[in-house]
Amino acid sequence: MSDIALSRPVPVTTEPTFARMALIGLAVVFVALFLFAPLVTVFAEALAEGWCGVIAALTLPDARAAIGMTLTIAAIAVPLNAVFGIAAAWAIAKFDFRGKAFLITLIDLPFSVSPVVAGLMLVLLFGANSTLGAWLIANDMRIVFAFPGILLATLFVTFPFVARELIPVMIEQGKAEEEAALTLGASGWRTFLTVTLPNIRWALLYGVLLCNARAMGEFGAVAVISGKIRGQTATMPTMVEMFYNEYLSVAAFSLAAVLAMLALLTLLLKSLLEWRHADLLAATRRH
Amino acid sequence: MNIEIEELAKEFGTSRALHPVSLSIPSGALIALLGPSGSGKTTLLRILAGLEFPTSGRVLFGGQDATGLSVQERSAGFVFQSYALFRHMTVFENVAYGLRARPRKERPTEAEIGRRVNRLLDLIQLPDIGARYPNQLSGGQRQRVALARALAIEPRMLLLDEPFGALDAKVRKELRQGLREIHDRTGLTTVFVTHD
Repeated sequence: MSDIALSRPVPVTTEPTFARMALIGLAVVFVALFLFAPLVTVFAEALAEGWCGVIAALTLPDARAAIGMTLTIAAIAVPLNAVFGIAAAWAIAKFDFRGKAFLITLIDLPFSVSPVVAGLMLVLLFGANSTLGAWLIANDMRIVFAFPGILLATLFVTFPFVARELIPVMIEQGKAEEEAALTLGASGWRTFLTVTLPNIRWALLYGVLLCNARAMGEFGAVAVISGKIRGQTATMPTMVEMFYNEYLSVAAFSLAAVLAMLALLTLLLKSLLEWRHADLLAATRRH
Repeated sequence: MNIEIEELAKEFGTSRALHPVSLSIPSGALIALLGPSGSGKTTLLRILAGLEFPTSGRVLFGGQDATGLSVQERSAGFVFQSYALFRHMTVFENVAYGLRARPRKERPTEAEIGRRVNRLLDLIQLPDIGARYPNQLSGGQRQRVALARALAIEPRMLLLDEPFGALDAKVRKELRQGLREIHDRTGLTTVFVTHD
């Protein structure tokens, strides 16, 4: 018996050393090649003419306008989609109604439709050639090639992120805790604030961060509906493309680097929150 | 408070969840609803708590028609099968939840809430667990915390859904004894659902 015990000195779930090394090595090489190297290249190209070049590029009026536009759009689209996402996830997870499967499919629509098509749909709907568009223009409300159009396109493209994060979490948690709060005399609103919201806060945070990253980075839909008017409707991603097409590589990569920095900042924020609340996170994850 | 159930029935779509049932529960009684799963015991309990509404029939609490009362107005202490403790709150906050949820005028002071919660934790013989989270407790402890939380609102009746279902035989026996003692002490009309 002892021979059998000795012939298995390592746990059954542990692989031989060379296999582990190979797997870890493969993962490191992949991450370095496909994630880290491009990021480094962006920053290296931006700094090709030193910090002065970056500062000069970012103080161009067109670049400043694009940064302002992107930040404004994200600041409006993300909170709106957080609210819509919570409402949609709430309806799907906590209630049974006819057409629920259809609603879930509908939420996924922006994922399955190409962003360019989404932009085109909005142009066709609100453009001068449609009845609605003609009426809007006659009443001095511009949507296509203007701020509202960019906002609508961003809202459409980023809609699923929050809802998609929340639905599985809310379904898994069920209704019991909410029902308990109600039997204890809490109102519906109080139940939502003190029971539902705290239970979904991490999923909500991830959803919001993903939504924010996409809102700032969206290119296709925005490119179609904004018309890419410099200084007016250009966003950071569309401005990067225009600079690049004009062989202004330092300007293009400087703006791209700012975009990358914003993304890294959101990730850092997420990690920081997770680290600070590690105890609570571990304590509340499961019963 | 006595509970009268008159020809109460519930249908979900086309399926019958509860056949018409009439029952009279005298004030201060300790009643077990016994039957196989799927026989509508839990549905009946949820209708009493106001979590479901009957398709037909009436419920009277203390002689007053309570069929249309909202779940908050029922003031029924409900212990869920899965306990449904608030996982992001400490045991203390769980038990205090019902008191804090009261309208501002009826809400006890912070000191009073503390006193009441500690008295309840003494009652369920777990005086030192106020600072813990539900996932740091055993099944039997969670069950007792859920009971304390339901008692904290000074309910008009106590409803328990399969209170001993998920527990081993020894703990079950202790809890059954504990429930009887608490019932004897509070004199609350108590209805619980069980299949054994």
